[in-house]
Amino acid sequence: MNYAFSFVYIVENLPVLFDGFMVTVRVSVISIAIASLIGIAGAAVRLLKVPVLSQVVGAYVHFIRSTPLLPQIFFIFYGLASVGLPISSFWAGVFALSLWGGAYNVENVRGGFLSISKGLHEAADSLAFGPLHYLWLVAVPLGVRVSLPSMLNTSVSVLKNSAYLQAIGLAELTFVAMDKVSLEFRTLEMFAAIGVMYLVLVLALSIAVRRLENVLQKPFRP
Amino acid sequence: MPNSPATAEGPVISVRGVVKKYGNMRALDGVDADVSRGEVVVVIGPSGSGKSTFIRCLNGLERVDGGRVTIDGMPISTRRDWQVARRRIGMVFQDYSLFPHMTVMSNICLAPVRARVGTRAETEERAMEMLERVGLAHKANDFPAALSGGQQQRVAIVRALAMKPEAILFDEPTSALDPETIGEVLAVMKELAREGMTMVVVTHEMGFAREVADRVVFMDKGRIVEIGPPEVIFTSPREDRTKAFLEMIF
Ligand SMILES: Nc1ncnc2c1ncn2[C@@H]1O[C@H](COP(=O)(O)OP(=O)(O)OP(=O)(O)O)[C@@H](O)[C@H]1O
Ligand SMILES: [Mg+2]
Repeated sequence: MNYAFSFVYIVENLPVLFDGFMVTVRVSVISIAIASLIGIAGAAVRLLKVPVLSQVVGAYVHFIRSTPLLPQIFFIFYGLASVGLPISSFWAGVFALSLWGGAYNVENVRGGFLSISKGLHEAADSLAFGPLHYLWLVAVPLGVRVSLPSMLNTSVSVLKNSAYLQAIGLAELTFVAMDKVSLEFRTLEMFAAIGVMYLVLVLALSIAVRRLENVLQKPFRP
Repeated sequence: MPNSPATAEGPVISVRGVVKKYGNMRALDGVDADVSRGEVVVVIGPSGSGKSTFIRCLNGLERVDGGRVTIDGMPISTRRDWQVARRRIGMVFQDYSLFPHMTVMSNICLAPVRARVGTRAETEERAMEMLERVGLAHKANDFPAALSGGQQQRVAIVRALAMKPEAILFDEPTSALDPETIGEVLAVMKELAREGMTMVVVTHEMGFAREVADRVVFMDKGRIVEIGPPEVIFTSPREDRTKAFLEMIF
């Protein structure tokens, strides 16, 4: 009953937590980057209505969004191992989170593409742009800018969902904290500490995206 | 010489029996017209009569459901045909449609450099000359958001010209502008006409039509009711529907 919250305990364990923190940062940053690329590429395939590929992307998005993330992670980690393609928990985590975030980003970027006025598409057409030029010179720069807020949401979710990777034994932030708690029962300290660390990461991500938005916004300020 | 005409004689644009349907409604119901080199054709008519649909069929923004469109004597039908033909037919839109994320200069030079109408250096030099002539050289490095409507529309005209087109289509180029700025844009268009540019212009500016048009086309209900020189159309039209329309607007 007499639980004394100990800051000293947190400070003592900072080096261990920091290791987990760095794993979380690495797995998240790589996954967010790949998920963003998947989002742009997938939305482009749907925009250009590339035969077959467009349907494949549609099915992929539907499948990922209709199933829970945890089984997806298991499927990739154990599934690949069982067909003789063993993969480290780190790269299995990157794989799973990228596919997961990518599916949401396909829809995010597609929304951005759809927000571009028909007039600009027609202007590009009348200047004899091919579909790929329209995509690269008009749709991507304008559409991605519009979809940045929703891509930020997805990226924050990728970051937070990296905690699931403890289930395949990746020593990320939550894993490290749980491990310590099971040995020393300093529950409040550990979860308060990692809570703050996740908060800092989300904040850093938001600031980075705000910066990017500001850069892309430049032409639109009179 | 990618921009040289296939045939120097004969109409630049020719349409025969063109039909465009939206569902069961015929937005164009059998339209025949020719646009000769150097000619200015002004299209007038009530709202919904098919003026925009007509002009958009001339550069393939709308695909026709019947009849045919010929550019420089070559029948145009497939997507690929249109993509090539569009290098020769420019278009200016009511809402300017400048690319908002590019500077004025990039807006103008992007397409011609891509389509190899000229080298980047040549294209930029020409763009600067044209901007100077429309009084916007000082805006070359600004983004469209920093320009007034009239300025944006003048840039849009320069952008179309930078492709060295054989003809330019205008769909109500001054309808979104403040009355004070309409004049700036019309002045540029008049100068273009004087220099012999082939133009098809949908407009409600009857003063412009009278002064600049070689021929005026009056459309109603998806058909061309009457074509003639402005003196005839505006003073002694043959058709009752033309008379009724002109009485309504004057
Ligand atoms: N994309 C579309 N889908 C369905 N109907 C359309 C479409 N575009 C035009 N129409 C119809 O076709 C007819 C002709 O339209 P169009 O825009 O060519 O007229 P307009 O003469 O340019 O009129 P306005 O002076 O108002 O611009 C109208 O009845 C319009 O409602
Ligand atoms: Mg119209």
